[in-house]
Formats: sequence, C-alpha cells, structure tokens
Amino acid sequence: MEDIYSVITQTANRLYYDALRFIPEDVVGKLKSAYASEDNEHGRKILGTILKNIGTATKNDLLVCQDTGTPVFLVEVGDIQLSVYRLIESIRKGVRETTIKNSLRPNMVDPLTRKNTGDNTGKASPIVHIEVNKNLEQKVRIVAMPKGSGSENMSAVAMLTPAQGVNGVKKFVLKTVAEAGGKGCPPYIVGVGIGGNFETVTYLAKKAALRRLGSENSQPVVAELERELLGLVNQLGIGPMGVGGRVTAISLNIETAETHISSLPVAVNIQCWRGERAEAIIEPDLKVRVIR
Amino acid sequence: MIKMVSLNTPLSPANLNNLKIGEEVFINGRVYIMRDATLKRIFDEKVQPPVDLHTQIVFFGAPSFKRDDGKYKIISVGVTTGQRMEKYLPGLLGSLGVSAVIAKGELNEKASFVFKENHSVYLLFVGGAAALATAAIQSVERVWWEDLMGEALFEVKVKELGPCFVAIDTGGNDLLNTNKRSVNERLGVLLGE
Repeated sequence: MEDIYSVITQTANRLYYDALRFIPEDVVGKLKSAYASEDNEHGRKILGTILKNIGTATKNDLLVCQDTGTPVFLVEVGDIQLSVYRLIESIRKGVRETTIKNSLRPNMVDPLTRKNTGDNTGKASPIVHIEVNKNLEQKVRIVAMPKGSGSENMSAVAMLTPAQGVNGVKKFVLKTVAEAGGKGCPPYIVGVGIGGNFETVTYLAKKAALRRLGSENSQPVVAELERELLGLVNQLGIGPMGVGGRVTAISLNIETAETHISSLPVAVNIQCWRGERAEAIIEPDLKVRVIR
Repeated sequence: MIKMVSLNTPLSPANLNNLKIGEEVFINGRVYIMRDATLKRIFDEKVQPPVDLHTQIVFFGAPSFKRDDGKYKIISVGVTTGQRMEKYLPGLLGSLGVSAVIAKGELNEKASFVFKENHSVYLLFVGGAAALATAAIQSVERVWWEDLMGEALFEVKVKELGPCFVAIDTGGNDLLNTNKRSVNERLGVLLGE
C-alpha cells in the first residue's frame, strides 16, 4: 500500500523533469503575444527561435534549456498531518532519482571547493518551502521550479529606507533589470518582493516569479504598481536576448508583506523566458492531479 | 532583412572578415564545448589543452551527457553567459587562436577590442534554446577531462547549428553593447537623472 511519502517522491521526481521539458501554457501564451508585438527585427527572430525551440523540445523529447537549475519546491499543505522531516526527505529522494535516471546535469557544488555532489542534492538542496493553505483541506500542492542560474545570478536585494518609498522601489527594479540586460535570457518574468525582512523579501520575490502569468496581486494598489512597473521596464528597450526591442519582460509580479517601521526591503528575482514551473495536487486518496 | 550565412569549420580569415554584426549564422563542422571549470584548468592551472583549437569555434556551455558502451550521447546542451568567461578571452583568442566564441549576453565594453585585436568574432546564440542546439549535434567526437563532469571539454560535430547572430565582428563593432548604451540612456531618463 502506497503512503503519501512515496507519492511525494514520485511527484517531485516527475515535476522536476516536467518543468525542464514543458513550458507552462500561460508562459507560452505570453511569448506568443510578445512575438506578435515585437517590431525589432532581431528581437522578433529571437522570439521566433524561442517558440521553435519549445516545439523542438516536445517533438524530439529534449530538455527546453540545458540548465537543470537549482531544485526549488513550494509545498502547500491543507489541514493534514504530515512529518516535515519525511516530507523533505521524500522530495530529496525524488530529485536524486530523476537526476540519475534522466541523466540530468548535476549542478550543486560546494561553494568554495566547487566539488559537485553529483545528484543535485546538498545541504540546502532541494530547497523546500512549506506553506499552510487551509483552502487545500486534505490535499497537498507541490510546485517544482528548477531555477536556472543565468537569471538567478542577475537578481538583487536592497534594504531601502522608508523615505525612499515607492519611488525608491521603482528605481531599484529598473536598475536591476537594466543591469541584467541581455545576460539573464530576456524576455524576463520579473518577480518583485517588497517588505518583510532581509530573508523574507527574497522569498516574496521568488513567489512573485512563480505566480501564474496573467494573474494579478489581490491588493488593487499593488496590482496597479505591477502594471506601471511592467510598462516602465519595457521602456528600457533591452529586448529579447538584449538585442533591443519592445519586449524586455512578459510579466512583472509583486508580492508584499508587512515590514518594520524603519525598513523597506526590496528584492528582484529575475526569471528567464522559460518560466520553469510544474505543479500537481495530491488528493486525499493519494491520486496525483498534474496542473498544466 | 537580416543576411543569412552558412559557415563551415575551421574558419578562414576571409570567412571572418565577411561577417558583420547582426548577421544570422548557421554552423557546420566541429565545435568545442567548454566553460568555467574547463577554462580555469587551461589558464589558471596552466594545463595545455589536449586539442589544437586554432581557427576553431568554441561554444560556452556544459552538457548533460551519458555514456553507453563507450559512446557519448549529449542529453542537453545550450549556451551560458559569456561575461563570466571574459578573463580567459585574451588567452583563448590570442595564444590558442580560437576564431569564434558562441555564448549569450553582452560582454564588457572592452571585450570588443580583444575580438578586434585577434581577428575573431562573438556569436550570440539564443539563451535557453538548448533543444535546437542539442538537435544540431550529429555526434560527439571526443571528450577530455571527464572529471569536470558537465564542464569537461567536448568536441562535437554539428549540422546547421543556429541561428547565431554576429554580436561582435572583426572590426570590433558590438551589437549588444550598442543597445546597452541606449538602455542606460533610457534608464537615466526614467530615473530622472
């Protein structure tokens, strides 16, 4: 009889691999609109190449991008009893299994000696974020995000002052995207975290980058800031792969949390056009429903 | 209209002189795949490369691969950010005589002089387009330094590897930095500086 931990292992195994092979439909939709609206000749050709590449990956059963990423998982649990230790170990096992079975490139190395662990696991790998979502009731939601390093390396965090305010936030986002330029594989999905403290703000930015494209922040004032900042980012003219053009970002998502009276943390998580993400729900009867 | 060019390796000075920024290139022949750790071994640890790279094309990447009965198969390969490898460019293009580097992203402004001085070109491949790069590989010819895992040195035979775009030509013209300068001007206006 299967228990939930072996189902979690199988799900982590599958989602990690799926996220490397299939681009979420909402991301493909945005890339298609970008292709239709780009008027820079090179930019348009690059967007066409990106769409062709997604098709070739499916047709030839290949990975979309060679970067098998840093394995990041978001696990949302409803009102259910679960051992946190076994949950994390089950995901770790899934990552190890899929890395070996599918000959995925092992990326995790010691930061100083650069020695590779060989299976994409490590002291802090996979990174497992656990959240409670009471709407899930007896279900578990797992999202895999094998985050590519090209865009991750272009991400940044700033501890602004309250006096710098919203204007300071906008400036920091624009500077970070401009500095990323063509290096992090634009068109980007820009995840912005505002508030919390030093470590929560980067997580907010990551969650923003993970959010389904086309959705908006539930607070109208934040949703308005998302639209405004996306417009400003696209005025930079970085364009696909930095060659110039209208489309620098296909989405800009913001997540916020309360912060200290003397703080205004901001984080920008740059996500490349791949928008790697695969998601599934484990039902109370342990059936797994993959969400496309 | 973007001009389309087909290149066969090894490259001749005439091949290189004819390439101008913005042109679209497809490559046939042999390509050498390497990146951070491979270059560190050659230039920092001063280990002579096991193959002559003169007039050849280097692709900055690290494949996933497997080996069945001694035969290598590349599971996936794509380009990585060129800027990380900048400090090795003078050695690569100068003493080793490499003719072209395939990577992604703008390099620092002064890199264009290194290409000009050494009569070589920077070719931009679409970042993340690994399915296209992998599908263009016909065979893995040789692999050295497998202890570096994905960062080993690979010699592969490719057919119609592309599209690549000429990002720095032998005249030192730089497609991506020309755009980056405009981006910085627009940033200045947007920031009100």
